[in-house]
Amino acid sequence: MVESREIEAGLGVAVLAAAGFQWLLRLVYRFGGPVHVWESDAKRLRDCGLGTDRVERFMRARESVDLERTRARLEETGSWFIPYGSDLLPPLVRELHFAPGGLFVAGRRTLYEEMRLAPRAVVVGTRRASAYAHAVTSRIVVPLIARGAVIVSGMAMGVDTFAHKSALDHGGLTIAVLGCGTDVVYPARNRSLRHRILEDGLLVSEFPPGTRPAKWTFPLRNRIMAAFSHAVVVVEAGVQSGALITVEHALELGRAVFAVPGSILCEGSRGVNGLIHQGATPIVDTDAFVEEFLCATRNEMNGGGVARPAAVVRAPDSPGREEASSVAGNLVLQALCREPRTIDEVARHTGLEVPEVTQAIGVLELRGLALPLGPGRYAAM
Amino acid sequence: MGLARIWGYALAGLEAVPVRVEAHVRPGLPGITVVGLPDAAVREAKERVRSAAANSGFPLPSQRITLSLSPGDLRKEGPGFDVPLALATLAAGGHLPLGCIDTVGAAGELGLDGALLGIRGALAIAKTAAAQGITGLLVPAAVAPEAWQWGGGLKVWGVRTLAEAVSVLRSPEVAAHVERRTLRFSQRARARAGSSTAERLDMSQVAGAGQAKRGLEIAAVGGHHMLMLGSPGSGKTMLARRFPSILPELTLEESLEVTRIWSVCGLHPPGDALLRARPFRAPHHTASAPALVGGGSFPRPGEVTLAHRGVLFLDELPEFARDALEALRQPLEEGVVTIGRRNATLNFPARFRLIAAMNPCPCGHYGHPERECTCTAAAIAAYGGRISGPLLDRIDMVIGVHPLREGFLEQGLVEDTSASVRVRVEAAVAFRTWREQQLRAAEPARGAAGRAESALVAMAAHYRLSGRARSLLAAFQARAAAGARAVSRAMRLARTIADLVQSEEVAEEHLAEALVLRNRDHLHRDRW
Repeated sequence: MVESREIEAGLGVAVLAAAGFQWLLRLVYRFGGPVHVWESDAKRLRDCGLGTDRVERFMRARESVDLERTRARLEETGSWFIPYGSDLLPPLVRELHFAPGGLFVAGRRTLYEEMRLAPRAVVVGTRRASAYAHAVTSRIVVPLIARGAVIVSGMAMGVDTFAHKSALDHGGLTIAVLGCGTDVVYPARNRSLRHRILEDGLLVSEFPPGTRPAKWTFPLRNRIMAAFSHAVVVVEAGVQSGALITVEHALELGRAVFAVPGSILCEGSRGVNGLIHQGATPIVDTDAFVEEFLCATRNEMNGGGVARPAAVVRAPDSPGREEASSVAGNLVLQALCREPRTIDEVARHTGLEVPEVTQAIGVLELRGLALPLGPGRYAAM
Repeated sequence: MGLARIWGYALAGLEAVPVRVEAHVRPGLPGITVVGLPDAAVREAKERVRSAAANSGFPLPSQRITLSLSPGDLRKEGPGFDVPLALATLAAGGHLPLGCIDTVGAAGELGLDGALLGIRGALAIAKTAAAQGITGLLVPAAVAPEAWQWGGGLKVWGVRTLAEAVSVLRSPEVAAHVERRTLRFSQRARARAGSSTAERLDMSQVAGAGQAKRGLEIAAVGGHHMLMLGSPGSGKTMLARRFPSILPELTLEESLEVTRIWSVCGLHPPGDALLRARPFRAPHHTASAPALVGGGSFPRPGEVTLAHRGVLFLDELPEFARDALEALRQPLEEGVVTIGRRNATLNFPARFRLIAAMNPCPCGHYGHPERECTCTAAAIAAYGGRISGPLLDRIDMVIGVHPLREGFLEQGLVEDTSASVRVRVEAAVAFRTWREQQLRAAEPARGAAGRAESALVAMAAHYRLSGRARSLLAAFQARAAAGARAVSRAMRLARTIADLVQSEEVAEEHLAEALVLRNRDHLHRDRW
């Protein structure tokens, strides 16, 4: 049972950190919890090397902060707060040197329980995703989901969005770690995605409800994402990408980092290829990757087991196991397995006529065995 | 000296309206007055009439000449009234026997030397004249072949000068001679039109793009609309320009329709008999809504009507003005354009096949195998979003066109020629026509029972879906939560695909292909 002191201190730190006292977060880990930060006197803070007027301002702000209002707001938005000291938090959150006062969560509580016990993979990447990145994201997410993993990402445009959507589309559980309050819609385009995640997933943020996104909130968000993960998968990233920040945090926390190799000609793949150069595990084969990931998690979770062993609602099987019902369907599926292809290309590779290929793809698509990717291209699931 | 009457014709939309043209010569101050709502061009006719008459050797009397056009409340437009006004004046002035032109129609513009010049809408005028049952129609020789095509027992005199027109009206021998000459010219022009359909553009000139070609073939049979999605240089425009070459030939009836439209718009070359090639219109993306669907205070047909029975090609679809695109909805669905004006509502036919093309994103390289796309996800989604849902709903096929990968040209592919595709298309169209006749014959038998069926069941029966096709359709509806329009459009498409293989039943594979071709996901509306 978490003491109310703990909750109050956690909330207080979270609210003030979002209001400009970010330096508080540096003390949380150092003092061993928000309670000690929140309740510390001026002398102790000054001893840490903080300037007098900083301390003064904090003291004043602490007096005036209205935690009741924050609580009411939480109630209103249907989210709840898990303070720093709670066992419910993933343990790594407490390991962060820049630890949060606690986390705000929106979504169904039962899902949170489920998520806590499941292996979690962070799938992140550029906002300017190529068709290739989209193809790869779903190919990575779907087998992970099928093995009971939870997909964590940041709900940004591009790879993040696609990771969430593929997870939801295949009956999986997904967590969006936000750079704003859990009740704020950002980016606006993802309004409907946000609704879907509220239904079948969780929104997590260290920022209290009502916090608008800002330039500085996203790098902070990335460290929470890393703390939620058992491994990080970078799909596509340029040299400036925020995904690289997530990787840095993950490495600090001792997480495995996987990277999807990209073209060396593409500016947008330079960051991710750089990761591989520095020693990240390249994903060469999705099946092998999933095994590797689960292996890494199992060690981590001390044989705690996978909570949702393939308890997936609509997970389509990989094409190796699933047979299309017709000869043409099988040929097409084989051709699509190698890489996403256009109908014309499939026709050329299989020797079938264009209408035959189109017909086969129509059936495969409805059975969830093939999916359209970018203009006129298809991939096998 | 006295009063003379003749028929003239005013154009209203695509139709010609008969106009009574009267001339009265009476003592008074010399001068010509035109009454009966003439526009500026008609009012100017009096100067041309005076000079042309003088130069043809028929000086006008120095008396008061009143010219009247009735019905008086119809606005008369254009120079086509020169000839009837001149002939009525000459008759009233004593150069023609009075009464000999009462049941004659005339149209044409006059040069000051008395030459008859071509006019717009000769075919429309001939249609109206034939319906009137007049003795004969006098038109400039340049447009006589066109007017002659209407047939309907109408005598057509193609004359070159005002003097010749006068002698046609004075002497039956000359009239018979001119009529024979017109007939000869017209038959020759018609033969010429038939042979000129051999075109240089051929489908076999485009390598690859098998799926797009298949889409065009389906569009050719069923009159479906299609959107091509592809990077710059992937061959979208090449394909679209070759689309008319695989369309079935215009029937005589269609040809008359199209010629009438083009002629009214002044696009039909003088001297040609009939348009035999399917129209191909490719308006630029800066075209306004009235330019596309028609408009103006004297409503003129727009590009969609000029593309009637042919192809409307809209390149760079998202670059068109929003209101221009939205105005396309009615013609896409109903095949007509309705233009309302204060005094009249006009219907222009617009049964065309829309072939649209667009890049997948603003930079054009999204999904390109080698080039890098520099657009943000939001920009790509916004680009696709410029095409509204209701418009997209009416486009049956969305097809990706891809640039050929390197080394492909050396493989020496043999591509179908337009002629061989057209054979398939024509066979499918013939089968479709036969099938529809069968259906109509069987319809009354089902009538009473049919009423109780749900719309979907009725539709499934109408399209003759096989059992497996039905279960596929059910799966599609369950998965995509597809609306009624989406389902019925997909079925129509599947029906056309079945027609291509001359199957009375729509089988699973036909429906499957239709569902792939209809898939809009390529436009990334809500995917990311």
